[in-house]
Amino acid sequence: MVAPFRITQSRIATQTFNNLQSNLERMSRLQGQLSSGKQIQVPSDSPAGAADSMRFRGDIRRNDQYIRNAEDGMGWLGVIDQSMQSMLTSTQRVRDLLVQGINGSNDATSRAALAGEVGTIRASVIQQSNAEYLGRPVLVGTVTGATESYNAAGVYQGGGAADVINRTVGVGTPVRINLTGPEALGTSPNDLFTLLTTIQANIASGNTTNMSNNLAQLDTIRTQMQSALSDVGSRFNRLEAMKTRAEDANLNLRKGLSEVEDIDLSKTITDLQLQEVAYKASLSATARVLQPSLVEFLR
Amino acid sequence: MYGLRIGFSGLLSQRQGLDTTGHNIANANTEGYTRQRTVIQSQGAPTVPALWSKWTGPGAGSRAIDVERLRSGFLEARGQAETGRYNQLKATAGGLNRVELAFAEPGENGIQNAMNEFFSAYDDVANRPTEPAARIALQQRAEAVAQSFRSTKGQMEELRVGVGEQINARIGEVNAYATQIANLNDAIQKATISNLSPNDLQDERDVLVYKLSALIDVKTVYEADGSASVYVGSSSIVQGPQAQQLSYSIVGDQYDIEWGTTNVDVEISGGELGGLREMFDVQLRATVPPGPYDTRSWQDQLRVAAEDFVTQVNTLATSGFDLNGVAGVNLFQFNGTNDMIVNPAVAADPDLIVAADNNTNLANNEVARAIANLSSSSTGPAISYRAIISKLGIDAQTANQRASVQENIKNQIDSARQGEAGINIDEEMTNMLSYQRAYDASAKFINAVDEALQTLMSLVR
Repeated sequence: MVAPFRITQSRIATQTFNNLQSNLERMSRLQGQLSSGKQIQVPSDSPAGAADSMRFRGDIRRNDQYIRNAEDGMGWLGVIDQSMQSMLTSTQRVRDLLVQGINGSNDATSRAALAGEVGTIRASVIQQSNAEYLGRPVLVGTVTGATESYNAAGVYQGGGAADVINRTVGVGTPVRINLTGPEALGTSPNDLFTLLTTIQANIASGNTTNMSNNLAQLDTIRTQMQSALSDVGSRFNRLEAMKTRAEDANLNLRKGLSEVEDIDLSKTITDLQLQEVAYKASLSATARVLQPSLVEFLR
Repeated sequence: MYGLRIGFSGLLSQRQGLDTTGHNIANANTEGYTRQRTVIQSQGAPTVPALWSKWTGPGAGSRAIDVERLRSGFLEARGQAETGRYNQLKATAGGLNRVELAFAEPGENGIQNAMNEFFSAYDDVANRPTEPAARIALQQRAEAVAQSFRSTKGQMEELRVGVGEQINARIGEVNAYATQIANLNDAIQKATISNLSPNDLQDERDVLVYKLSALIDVKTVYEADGSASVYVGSSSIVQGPQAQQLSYSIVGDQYDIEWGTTNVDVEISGGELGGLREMFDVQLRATVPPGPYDTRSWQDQLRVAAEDFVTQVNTLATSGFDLNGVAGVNLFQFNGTNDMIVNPAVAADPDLIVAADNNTNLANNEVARAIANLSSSSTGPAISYRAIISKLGIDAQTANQRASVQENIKNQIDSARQGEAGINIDEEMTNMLSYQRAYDASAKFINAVDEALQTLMSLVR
């Protein structure tokens, strides 16, 4: 192509071959992209794109895990919520029985019946407090080897009140997903089960003064239970929000990953067709260029 | 009578020209052939005056005095230099591309993915600290991370060994070319002394010099006797009929290429050999810990990333307690060959995986969460690993671009060399016609002189 140089057949042949070769190479790259659906096969295809793609993949994996963590936490809090709801219903019934007992017009038989019902409710509340999520009692905290939150005697099986289980659901924001027995039902000896035993005894003995005191104590514990329940509810909502956020983030990240990694199908196909045309053109040019020489015209 | 001699000289020199044209056409597609041209010179008249006589006629016809090779020394030297540079860059780019394949990023089969899966599995353990299923899954993920670090390292080591074998083979080729060039130099010198044409021997030699220049950076000096002296650095590898041989050994992790049995290093900076040696000695170098890191070596960068990962995970793991309430042990370690493995004790017993941060509340998951959080930490092992891939991508892309630019330059020079030294069939056909016509005319001239003589003779009868 450069004018000062002499042109020879072998030079044309080599040049044509080189051009054909680079056309073919471009075509093979496009075909590779088309068949794999990816623009980036190795980091050198686009170093910045490769780094982005790796970051996107890492973030997507992390967000998937946030979603799983949040779902798990919602499972825990859901069980706690149910158990607290049913305990509140049960203790409401105890309160009714207590008020009935205070009203004083009960004879020994009906007092015994009332006391008996309080005993039964106490046993069922113990059962409700032992609600489990995937084999782990939800109110017992993290203490080793606990199989129930409260034993049959109503004694708490867990450790201290600051017994925290967290779930990672976003960068730097763990959400607490457990509630310990003392936090929910009061610390021994001022806990719900001790109080229920006392109430049962006081109803049975007909001591109205004590029963009135018990009523106030029961209301205190129920208030504590209600605020614990609303705390559980708000944490559940927070998990739900974090989960939605992680899902939204993943949607955007997947879009970003696709933009970085995936080919634009229509563009690649068009490019490939253009390249094919160019290749065919250079083939036919080759066929023409190498044919004629002076030999043909010497007769 | 002189006219017959003039005609005869014309026949001879045009025949010679025709033969050269035939030779050129016959070699139109011969690799490395340089077109030749018959140099025809007009013959002067006798210049020594004889007694009582002086020459009054024209010259004495023509004579083919030489057949010369038409090539440009400048283009040949450029061609050798650019080919050497191209092959060096191609070797570097090829090596880096294979390093990229060893890393297998970005994708589902690389180290990054294995790390992500590992951290996710640790989060699952954080969700169920006491459940064996989550711990066994984590054991598998930990093994997968160690495995992917090992296999990437192993592939690079294989690559290094492969490059070493290539270097050995190339040195063998260099030695073979040097010997052949020296042999041809010998034949050329002898032909020149005996006044024979060494043209085709020179073509053959120059092809070999060109091939040699692709392997190693050489400088060629053409001597008056037709031979070529070839220099590598400041020493000659071929001088007339003498060739020097290269010898090699591997000292530590570096190639030592020397002249023959001397202890003098060969100054190789370019050619395929230069590129391969750079891959072997620098980019794929594997230093032995606890030696200093070579930040230009991909093996060492991978080693830093692996140690970073292991240190960060182990530091957290040993700060906690396992399911038996015992203080945590290292989760990963390096074996004797510096390969990452899962601590065999942990691999044997999933209860030794650390999740809790105290030994009384073992359903606690704080350490497990902390390890899982490494995956998104701004100083976490994933970040430093990603930086390596990014740098590798840029380096490989640059190497590819430089090789492709150099390929263009080399192709242009090659094309110019072919233009200068190659055969143009049209030109040869034109030359053939003019030689043919001149031959015809010379014959015609002899005929004319003959007729003139006959006329003279008929006068006598």
